[in-house]
Amino acid sequence: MDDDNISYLNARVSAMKSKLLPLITYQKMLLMELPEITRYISEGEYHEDVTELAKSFRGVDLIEYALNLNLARTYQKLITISEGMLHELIVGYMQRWDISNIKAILRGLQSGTSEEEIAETLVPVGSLSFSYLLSLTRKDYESVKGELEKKKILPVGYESLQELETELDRRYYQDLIALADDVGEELLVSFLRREVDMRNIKIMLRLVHEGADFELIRKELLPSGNKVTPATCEKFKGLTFEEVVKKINGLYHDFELRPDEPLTIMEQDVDKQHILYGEKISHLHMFTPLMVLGFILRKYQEIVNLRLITRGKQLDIPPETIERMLVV
Amino acid sequence: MADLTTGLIALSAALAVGLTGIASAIAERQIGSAAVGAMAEKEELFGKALLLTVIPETIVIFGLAVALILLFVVLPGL
Repeated sequence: MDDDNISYLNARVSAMKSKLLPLITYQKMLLMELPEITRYISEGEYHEDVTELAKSFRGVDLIEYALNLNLARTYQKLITISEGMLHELIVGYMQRWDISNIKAILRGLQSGTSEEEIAETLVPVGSLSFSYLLSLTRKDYESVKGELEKKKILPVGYESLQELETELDRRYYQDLIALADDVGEELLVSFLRREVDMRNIKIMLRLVHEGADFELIRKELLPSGNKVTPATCEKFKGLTFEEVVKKINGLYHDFELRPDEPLTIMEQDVDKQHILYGEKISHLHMFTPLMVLGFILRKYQEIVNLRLITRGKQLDIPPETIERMLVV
Repeated sequence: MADLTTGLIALSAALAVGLTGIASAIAERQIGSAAVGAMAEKEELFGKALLLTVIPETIVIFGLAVALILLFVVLPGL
């Protein structure tokens, strides 16, 4: 991957990463009132985005849209400044937002959620333009599904939305891992397989917690993982939630969940530990695309954190609760 | 015989400068592109980046020193 100028991109991304907000800033923000927080955000790295949208929006909405705009711009920049196989990898990795947007639209339309509410859950990142995604929110479930199937964005022949969603994820990871394999990035392949494991662990935790049938759990798991796959999940059969957590804790030496935490916190902890793992190995292997992929995850998490703080403050959620939900 | 020795010393001096020059170029290419990448995001890194970019220059300076010793110390002593 020498020709792709990975040293340029990694150094640039490293500099971008140094501008991400540290934990201490979030803690400071948690002590502020909502207007102070919005002012603080609009004065920092997000100044340009806030100024641009200030004519159309106010308050928390302004911050929310500015954060989304900033995220879209940052990701667009990564796509623009990368080239060759590295570019392909970044574009491929970012397809996760296309998938998550499509899922959000389909889920919203199926459950009869309003246009505005669906639009709020969309992330304006990925290969599908935001205006196109918004136009989809105005249609009905069947016509959107038909349209996306015609465009070959959705696979054909899946009646249930749940199966369709699993298939989208399965294809996403299968293609991405195949691409990373073609490039010869073994470390990236193992990182992606671990990511699939993390996704599978979250599904396992949620479904076992709800007392779901084991066959359903097996159907929901993605096959591209390392240690938790439909083929290797037999060891979790018939276990209680606590036993599953214990078993999961034995999978990786640097991964541990606290069994006394609520499920939502546990799920966030899975994401958090995966991001930190990505961070750790990207430092150990400087000349791999992991630095960029790690940054993509961290940047998204920063947006999620800031959204959590602003929305949390708006809804008067205690700062300690918000802090527990932050991923830094 | 003396002509052959002179020729070999001259060739060695050329190789010492030439090969180290290539080595410096390869190293500076990597560091230079990383420096430009970092500066694109943080202009204030210019000073540090410039310094880091020229550090591999020492390789070619060593090569030059070897070449000068060959040409002006070893060769006249023959």
